[in-house]
Amino acid sequence: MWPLVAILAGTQFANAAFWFALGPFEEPRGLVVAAQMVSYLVLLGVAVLITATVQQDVLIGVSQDWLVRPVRRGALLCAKLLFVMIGVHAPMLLADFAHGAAAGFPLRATIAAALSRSAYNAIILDLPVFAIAALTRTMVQAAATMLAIWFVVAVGIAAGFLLRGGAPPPFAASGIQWMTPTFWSALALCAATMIIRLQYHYRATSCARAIMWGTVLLAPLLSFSTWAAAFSVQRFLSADPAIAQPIDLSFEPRLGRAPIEAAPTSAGTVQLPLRMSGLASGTIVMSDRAFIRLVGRDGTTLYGGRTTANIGYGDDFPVSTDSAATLWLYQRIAIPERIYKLVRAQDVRAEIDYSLTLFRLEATSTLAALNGEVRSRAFGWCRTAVDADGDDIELGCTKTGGAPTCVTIALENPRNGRRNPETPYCEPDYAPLRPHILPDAMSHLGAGIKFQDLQQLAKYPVDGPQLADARVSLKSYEPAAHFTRHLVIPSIRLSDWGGR
Amino acid sequence: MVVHLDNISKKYGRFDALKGLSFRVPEGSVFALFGANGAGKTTTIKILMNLIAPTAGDAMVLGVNTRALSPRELAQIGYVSENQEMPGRTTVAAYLHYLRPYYPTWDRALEAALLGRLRLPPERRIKELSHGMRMKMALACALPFRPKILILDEPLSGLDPLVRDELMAALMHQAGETTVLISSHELAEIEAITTHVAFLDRGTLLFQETKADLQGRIRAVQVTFEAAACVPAVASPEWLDIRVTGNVLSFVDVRYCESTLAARIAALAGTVCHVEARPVALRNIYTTLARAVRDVGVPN
Repeated sequence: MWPLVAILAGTQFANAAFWFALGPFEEPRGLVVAAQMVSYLVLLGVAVLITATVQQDVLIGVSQDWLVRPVRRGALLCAKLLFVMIGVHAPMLLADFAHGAAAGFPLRATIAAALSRSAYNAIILDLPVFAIAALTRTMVQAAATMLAIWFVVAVGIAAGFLLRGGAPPPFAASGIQWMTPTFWSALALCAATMIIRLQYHYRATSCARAIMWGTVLLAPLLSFSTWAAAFSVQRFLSADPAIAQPIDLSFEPRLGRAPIEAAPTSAGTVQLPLRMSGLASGTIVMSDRAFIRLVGRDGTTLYGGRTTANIGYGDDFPVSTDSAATLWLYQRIAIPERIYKLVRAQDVRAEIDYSLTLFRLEATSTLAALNGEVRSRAFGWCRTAVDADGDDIELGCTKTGGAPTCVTIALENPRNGRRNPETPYCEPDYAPLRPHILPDAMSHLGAGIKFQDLQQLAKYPVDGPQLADARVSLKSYEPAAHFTRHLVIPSIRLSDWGGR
Repeated sequence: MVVHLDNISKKYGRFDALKGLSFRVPEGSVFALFGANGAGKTTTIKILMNLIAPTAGDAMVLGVNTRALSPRELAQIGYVSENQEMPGRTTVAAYLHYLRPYYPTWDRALEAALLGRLRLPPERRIKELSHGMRMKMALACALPFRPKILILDEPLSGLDPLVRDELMAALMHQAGETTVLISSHELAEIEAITTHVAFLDRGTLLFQETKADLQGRIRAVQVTFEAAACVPAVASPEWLDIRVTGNVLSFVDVRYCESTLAARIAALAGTVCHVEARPVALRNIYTTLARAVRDVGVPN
């Protein structure tokens, strides 16, 4: 086994070396592909080593010599777990620590990130692989079992798609999609613990296999859950629910119709003017989901569904504020054209159920736009440089642990006070814990900040000649409260608010 | 009793592999368990080694229920099976080295002697050993700690005569100081060391007794008549494998009694000229009984 341990350790250190060499900009690009492959090889190597370790003393069948030896089953299990710790996690921790230390990160942050990655790996990879290895005799059987599990889960998810009429799972592309992998991890952890215990203490293979397949069948369960149920769990997990209590959302017809958009919209798109008040400064509000219901005068529901057909993060806004307590915005609602044509001229009652998340400013950082470099707790080690085309500032950050979930980036010139529009990079993850396992214990954040339009169509307040004085402003936001609002517009004619 | 089975049953689905099996293995005996393929010998042994659980009944080894066998008892039980899977990538020497610490009574001198006697190459990987060599290896791993009981499941199966002899020589060396429970079809080889026998058929124990008693009550009888012999119209159910050659009638009597035999024959087959009763080898007892069981049912 030791040669396998040495190969895996070598691969883990090669992975760390690759990502260290790539630096914040992750260049050269060709090396990124190689580095990604190495990081997947590490996972494969971990699975192979654990399987080989367990299957040295196969647990199924009655012919294995070790079964008739005076070996304490508990001691054997402990020995194998210890070997996994030494063979897998010691090199993993060392490689992550070496990467963090070489990149100049503080000792404490480096160790915390390495330990977190190692622990999460143990839960989502080591223990399930250990359990599968305990139910199989050979590496091929173990691999086939893993493939079969993947297949069954995929079929379950596909069945969910079919049952929802082709719609994606309710949590897809939202901040609460962490619930699915967390549910899977919890299932895997429980099942793996039970299977390992059953196999090592009782060698109850049939029962252990039943647990494994029962767990696999449970895996797609969450995709049959509803958004409302899941979001109510998320609301319960809010870090600071009180901060969202003053926020109010109302229909604001005095704002008038939305300006004509440059981008063409479908005939069924309306834009409702809204007023959001009660916002604290330095916050962002994101609409995770908004469901609209149009009710006719006779009380019948004419239409119900999401306000957008997008499957991307957030339905239509985030809205951010530095200081204002009240904001006006337009809620875009995409109604299928067929239905829109039927209802556009009617007086209808519109009810919109919002699932909202308020993000609070957590950290800010600035660095020179040209060849800037800064280290901060929130963003890690960041550098800037002008890209090869000469129209973008490239920002690259490497950070210990997980990356910030919501970041806004703006180019500003402190000399003249000019500032380009903020660009949000918000793919929110509302998980209470955000462990980071791939490609290593470091996360990487990259963004391009436009300062020049090569077609000369747009003009930026902070442009090329100002770059020497300009700086990149980074803001990191963290979810503070998840809340709902129910907006009722008693009477509205949709044709007044958009659509051709 | 070193081994004590009490009303053991084992079901595989609807198939009854063992049906209320009970027997005892006295300390110091060499106990041969025989029966046709599928009789339940291997199932019995696997229950004794706690490799499988009985469906009902209790099995005790060294005074401990087999379901509760702990490393303490396992350190006193040697086990050799034709299907034993040892770690193939390990060398002979490395595996013996690995096993030593588990057995407080491990005898390094005996281990060395066994390696020499069984001609096992210490540097060879186990997966590179032939079947015969692997069986010798299994024995070499089962004897050096001088087990209180040695349980052997078809140890001679598929081995060439030379390897059998080597294995038997090693076994005979040990037989005096340990209780041996052996299941084997190779009865000719184990006859010399066997003290007790038990005959299993389709999961049921047909009998258990000492070899001396068995060979005392089962005899090959050859009866010479004055005239041409014929198979008696109503033969004794205790006469098995009845054959007629000229004026000679031969059979195996499973309830041999010297004083009454001649009269019984005369009553059934007519005037007897000469009767000769010879002891029967274990192998022949087994084949005769097995054939009788197969053809007519349970012999007494």
